[in-house]
Formats: sequence, structure tokens, C-alpha cells
Amino acid sequence: MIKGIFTHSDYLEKALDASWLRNEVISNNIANVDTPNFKSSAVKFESIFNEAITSKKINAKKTNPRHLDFGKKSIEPVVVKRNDTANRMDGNNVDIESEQIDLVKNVIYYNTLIEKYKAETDRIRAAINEGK
Amino acid sequence: MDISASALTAQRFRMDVIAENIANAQTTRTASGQPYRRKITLMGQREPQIPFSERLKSARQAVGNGVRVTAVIEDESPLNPVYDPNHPDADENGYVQMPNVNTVVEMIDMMSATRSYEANVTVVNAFKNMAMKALEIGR
Repeated sequence: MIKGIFTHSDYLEKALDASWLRNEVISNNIANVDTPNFKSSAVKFESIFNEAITSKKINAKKTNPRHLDFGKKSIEPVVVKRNDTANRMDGNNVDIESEQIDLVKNVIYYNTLIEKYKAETDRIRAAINEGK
Repeated sequence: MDISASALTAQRFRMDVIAENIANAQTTRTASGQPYRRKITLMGQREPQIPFSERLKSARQAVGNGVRVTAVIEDESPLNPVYDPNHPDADENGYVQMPNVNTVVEMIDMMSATRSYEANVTVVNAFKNMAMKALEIGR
């Protein structure tokens, strides 16, 4: 029973880390708005997360407890180059408006995750205190 | 946060160079004896300093490390000859070579630098808010 209580918050942690990474990537894009030939990046996480939790795991016959099941996908954010924005004359493709919007969205997303995390720890605390 | 800090430094530096250009818009004789030439700030990506082993396993490999000023070069476009025979720096035909600084261009550059600076300040605030929010966990 104890083993499972942090499963949910582990997922939240992954999402929080991805969100922080996304903020770093956005800040790097904005920092390089005047750098010739700079190409902006983005963080891919939600689709990877979705794929990982919906994909079926195949239980392998294990001869050692440290063996892994088949098809277990890791949930790690990936940094990809953006190709949906137009190049400027100097070869730079940072779209400052869309980066600002992404930044705002990401901060709200992060704050939401923190609230969820707090709610989760409150629930665990309530269980420990027998609901008192 | 360091990423945005590097950008703030770079934009401020760019602002200093623009200020120097505007201040020297009428300078016909510099230390080298030549008229002042407009200076241009070049920026480049600051490469992340991650050990090779980290690079292999981490997604951070593709996250940059901000921006830095790579060089300040002189604008090689032609100088601006002005007819003023009484000027001490005038040539035998009475022309003075004025700097190739265009004040309007410098003003536009200055606005661009200011806006970029502000955009980076916004990012710093966003980071700060997120970090403060994270401290609320478990409270």
C-alpha cells in the first residue's frame, strides 16, 4: 500500500520538471532574439507522457528482479527545434510574441501543477492523521 | 535565470555601443586620426558547458546557455562628406569626412534593444514566480 502512495505525485514531478525545462528553453529563445542564424527550440512532453501512460506493457519472464518489462517507455521531455515560425532576414526564427504567450501559458501550467501537488500532499497528510 | 541574465547583459552592452555611436555622431578625429566609424554589436549563442557523459543521457543537451556578445565591429559603409572649408579637418577640396552614424538608425536600434531587455525582464519575473510557487509545496 505504501508503495503506491507517491505514484501520482511522481507523475506530477515529471510534469513539473518538464515545465521548468520548457521555461529554460523559452528563456533561451528570448535571450537569442537578436542572434543571427539562431533557431528556436521547444519542449515536447505532453505527447510523450500520453503515449507512455496509454501504451500497454508486456510482462516479460524475468530471471532477475532487475530485468525490465518490454515496451516500458521512459517519460522524459525532449527538446526539439521549432520549424513552424518564419525565418527573418538574418536567419533567426524566434517569434517573440509566440514565445511570450508560451511563457505565460507555461507559468500558469506550472502553478496548476504545484496546486495539484499541494492537494496531493494534503490528502496523504489527511490519511496519515486519520482524517483529523 | 542565468540565460536571461546573459541576455540582459548583452542588451545593455548593445545599448552602450549605441550610446557611443550617438555621442560620436559629429566626431571627425579619433585617436587614430580618422573620423569616427559607427560600431555594430554582434551576438552569438553561448554554448552550454556540459560534460560529455551528461550530454549523452540528458535532454538538457539541446537547451542553450543564453547569449553573448561575440564582437564589436566597425561599420565599413562610406563616410559622410560635408562641405565646410573652415573646418580644421577639411581636405584640400574643403570637404570634411563626417562619421557614418545615422542618428535615426541608432534610435531604432535603441528601441529594439530596450524592448529585448524588457522581454528578458519578463522572463526573469516568470522564473521567479515559478520558483516562489514551488516553495509552497508542503506548506
